[in-house]
Amino acid sequence: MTNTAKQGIITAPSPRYLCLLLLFVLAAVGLNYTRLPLFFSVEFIFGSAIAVLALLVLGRTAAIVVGCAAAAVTLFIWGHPYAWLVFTAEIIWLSWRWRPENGLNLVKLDLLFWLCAGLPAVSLFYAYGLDVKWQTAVLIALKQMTNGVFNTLLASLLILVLQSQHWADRFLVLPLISLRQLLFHILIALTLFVGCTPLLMDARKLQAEYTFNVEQRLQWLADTLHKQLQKHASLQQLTTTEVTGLLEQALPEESISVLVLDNNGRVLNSSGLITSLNNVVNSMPEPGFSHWQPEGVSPLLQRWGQSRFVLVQHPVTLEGVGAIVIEFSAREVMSKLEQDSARHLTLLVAFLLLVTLVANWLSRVISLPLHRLALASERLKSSIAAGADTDIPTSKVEEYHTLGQNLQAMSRELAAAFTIGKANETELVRKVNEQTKQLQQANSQLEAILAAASDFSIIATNKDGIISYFSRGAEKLLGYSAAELVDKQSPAILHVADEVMQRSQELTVQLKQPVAGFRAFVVLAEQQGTDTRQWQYVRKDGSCLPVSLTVTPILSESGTVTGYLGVAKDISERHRNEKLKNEFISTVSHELRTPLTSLYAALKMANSGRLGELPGKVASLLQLAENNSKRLGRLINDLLDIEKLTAGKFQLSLEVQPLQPLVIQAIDEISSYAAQYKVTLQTDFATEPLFARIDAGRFVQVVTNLLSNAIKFSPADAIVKVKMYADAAFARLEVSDLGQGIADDFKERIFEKFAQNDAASTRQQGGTGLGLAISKELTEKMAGNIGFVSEPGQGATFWLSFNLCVSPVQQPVNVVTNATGSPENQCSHQ
Amino acid sequence: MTLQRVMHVEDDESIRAVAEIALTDVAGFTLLSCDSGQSALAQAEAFAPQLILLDVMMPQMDGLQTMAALLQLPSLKNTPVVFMTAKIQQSEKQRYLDVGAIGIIEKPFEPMELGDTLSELYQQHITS
Repeated sequence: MTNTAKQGIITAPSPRYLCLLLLFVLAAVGLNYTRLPLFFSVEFIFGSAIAVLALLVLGRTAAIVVGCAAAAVTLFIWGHPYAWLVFTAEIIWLSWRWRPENGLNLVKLDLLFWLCAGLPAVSLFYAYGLDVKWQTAVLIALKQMTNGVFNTLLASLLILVLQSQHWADRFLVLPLISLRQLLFHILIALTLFVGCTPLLMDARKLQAEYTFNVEQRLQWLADTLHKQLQKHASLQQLTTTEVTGLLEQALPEESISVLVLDNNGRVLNSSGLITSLNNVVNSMPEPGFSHWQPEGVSPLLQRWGQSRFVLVQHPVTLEGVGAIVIEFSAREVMSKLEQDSARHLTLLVAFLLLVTLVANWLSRVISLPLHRLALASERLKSSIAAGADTDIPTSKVEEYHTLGQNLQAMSRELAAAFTIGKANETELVRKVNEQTKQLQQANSQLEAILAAASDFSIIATNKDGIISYFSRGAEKLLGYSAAELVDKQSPAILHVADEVMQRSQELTVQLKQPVAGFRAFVVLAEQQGTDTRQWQYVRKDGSCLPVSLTVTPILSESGTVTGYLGVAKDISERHRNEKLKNEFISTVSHELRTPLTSLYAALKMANSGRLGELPGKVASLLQLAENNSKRLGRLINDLLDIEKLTAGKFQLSLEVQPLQPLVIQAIDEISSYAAQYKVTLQTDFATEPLFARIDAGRFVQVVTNLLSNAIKFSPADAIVKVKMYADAAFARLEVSDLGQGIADDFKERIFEKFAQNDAASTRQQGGTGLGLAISKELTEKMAGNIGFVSEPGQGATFWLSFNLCVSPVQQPVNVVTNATGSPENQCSHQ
Repeated sequence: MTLQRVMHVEDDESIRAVAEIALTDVAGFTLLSCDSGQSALAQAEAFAPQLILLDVMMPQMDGLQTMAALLQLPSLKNTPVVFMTAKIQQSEKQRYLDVGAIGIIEKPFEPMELGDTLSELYQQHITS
């Protein structure tokens, strides 16, 4: 049938299987009782078709059971076991030999059985077992062979129909149809059905013809007898012997019997044996021609052998004669019919064999090229994969040839493409391996770096805030192991809940959107790229740890946030240092200033003259002491200032205000100092007021420092010029002196702490070496710039530059600078 | 009303001595000098100062605690207080002002101007 089906489509023994088996048995038995007459004495039964169907649907065992049960019917209908034996052997053969996966054809297998075993066996059984003539035995064998092959063909066709229907798949698991088998069965079926029809019609026609001939003959005989009897006016005048002689004269054949009845149906005379009426007639038989067969006689041939053709005539011209009955033995006709059946059956068998051969050949011829193409297509995959050509068979049939050519071309293209693809794949694999290796090296390096950064806590999360990486540094700082937290917890458990809540509230107000929980750590980082803030981490043992936490989002190539990275540094040491520094500043401030307070106050009051006149030298000495106490005070202030500046604890009160008055204030404060050095201060201010956002006191401090330096380094009677003007968007102040200028090798260090041109000069000129460093810090904290221009021997010009503001109406801003921030100094205009 | 009677609380003897000269000889005030918060509490009501000059950093009872205690005394609850301190940051200055001080004088102070400074602060206080 096909070469892909499994033996037995429904597996045994389920209730469904048993039900179907019973159904098949009943059907087979029933169909064996049903007979289809083909020719005279040739009738087909169909039980074996059901047995073959059972083989295909239920499997071997079921087929044998069904076949055996169906064949058993022949025991009853034919009265001998030979047919049962042969039919059972037939189904056993088919069950044993048929393998759908081998593509064996059931019809051919069945034909093989009948030609090799069935025909000889039936012939022998009938000839020797039933004492039938050889010719008859062979005919019976041919008939059974034809019947068997026909049934197998019928079953195969039915299965083909089911295989072609999709709805059948719901009930049965049917394999695919083989084109060759399909062609074979269709060809053989069509040819048989078409070719057998003339044979059947011919047989029917001949039988009718023979019957008609017999009827004509009997009619002629009846007329002849009628004429003979008419010659004698009354039969009653003749003796019985004379009437018999007349009858015999009219009907010379022994196979013909005649009966003459009177008007009441009583026998007047007879010749020969009339069996159809059993020689006892009590009623007038109906006129007409019929074929009488004896009841209760079987088989067909025996019944036909005893049958009679009967003609009943009611002569109207013979006085005293009611009916003439003529009987003719059917043996002659039967003999002819038997000869015809034999001939037809022989023709049928020959036709069957021929058709089988032709269908087999034709189906092979038509399907073989396609089958070869199908086989070649199975090799395509491996050929393409190997980059080799596939051998596609050619054909003389145009369609197959075109298909083959196209397949060949396609396989070449695919093979070439596959070869290129393989090469690319190899290269790709190599590159991937190389990059994987590099990645692994980078990962190892990263792991090493992260492991080395044991003083930092590095925690990564996924975008939902669940920890995905917990560095060794984090383990060390916090006391948790990575296994406890990775993929399990959010970093929120490492924080103080109140702190997180407070920060969430601040951000909610600031960003005008609800911020809570994990979002408090990441929302600013998402907006700004990074966010650094001090937090309190909570260790596993519950203790707190101040950290500086920097959060950055981890972005994919497309810029989507895929996670967050938090790097935290323990700042408890820094806090301690800051506290110490603050305490130091506070302590130094207090401890140095306290004795200086009384020292300076005492000297000041003593030198003021309010408490009495001092002798000249005492006054000089006390004045000297007062000056140095002032100097000491300045030094302490400078030291504390620079310490606060570098510690980032300097507070500025920034306010937009006019600069000229402040410069004048500084000049006033330094005027006595200038007089002391016999230096004149000359001003050149812009007429319009110049506004900038500054801390007034500290601005004065810076300007005073610049003036002090200029005075200090000017020769006696020199002029120090103070110029103030607007320079584009800036307010610019310049303090110029005519001193010795700044040496080239000192220029780079001039704003450093304790930077002095030379120590001797410092002692001569006074000063702490911190003035310019403090001035620079203060200027830059007020978002200004400071610089100088000087050539050795040509004096120096120090300048300050601040962003010009337009309006002085501005609220003061207290700015506490710290190490990580810078003050805002953009002028805002109202 | 001009400032006449000033109470000075300072634990450092030297500063007390120079402040005394500055406030009496130079400024002409009537002065009560105390060396501690406790001493000031004991003598303040009897002296009835118009203004209290308080050092911030003192042992046992610092300037803020002394101020709080002095202002608890019924006769002194409206007496203005000026702090004197060597530690002065803007935040500290604001803190002292927030607790009710009318001014802050940094150390080292100008002895010749101390009296004028206190008078000025006193006048601003009584006129506000």
